[in-house]
Amino acid sequence: MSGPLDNRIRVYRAEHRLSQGALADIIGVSRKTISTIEVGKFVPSTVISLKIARHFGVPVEDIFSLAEH
Amino acid sequence: MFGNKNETMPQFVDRFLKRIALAVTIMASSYGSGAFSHLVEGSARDFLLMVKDPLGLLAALIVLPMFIKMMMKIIRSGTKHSAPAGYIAETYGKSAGNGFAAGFIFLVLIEPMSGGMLRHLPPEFFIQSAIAVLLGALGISFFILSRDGNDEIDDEFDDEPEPEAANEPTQDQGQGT
Repeated sequence: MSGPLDNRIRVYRAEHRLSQGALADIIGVSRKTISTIEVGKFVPSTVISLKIARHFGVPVEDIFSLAEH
Repeated sequence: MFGNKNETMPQFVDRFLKRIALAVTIMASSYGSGAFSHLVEGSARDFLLMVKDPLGLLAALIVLPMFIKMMMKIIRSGTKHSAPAGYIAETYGKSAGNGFAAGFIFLVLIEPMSGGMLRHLPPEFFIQSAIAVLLGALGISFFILSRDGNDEIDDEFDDEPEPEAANEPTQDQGQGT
């Protein structure tokens, strides 16, 4: 993860067998948004973060955490 | 280029913003041609004046069809588009900030020269060149910031149902065939 925010979206997607496009449709954003969040290129808004967490049924801090350095 | 019928609204908005950025860059070329036409003479000046308006028309033609399509989608759905701002929208916002900064810096730099070595140039030159720098910086900044990287490959998993649905017994399992 290269950004200031680590995330485990890919892990949760794998568990739920969801492609980036499918998750993007559920959240209401484009696939590019999901892919750039995953690689740490884009820090999502609070709304997007909460929507992702709500979809996977976990607290938002289970998916997003501050990078250690 | 023309999108597809399965395109979601967020994808369409991304494509629309990319199209606007392209049009903005072309508009920058149009204003740049107008500004440069004051600096050259002869056939070069004629050429710049000749391409200026067609470039502006091209920019409008690039955006207009998608703008109409966007309006149609909004009217047809009967609701406002309330999706959260994604990566492309944020990149566009950053680029607009960069464009404004570049235009401002250009004006600050050119202001002392307007009464000196550039005194002979008409006011249109300064206005056109400032707009060209502002729009050009916006467009170029957008394409640099939104260029494709290692985020372009969609991680496709098998299209299996989600675990909750997968755990539910199906009719076939119950019949034991």
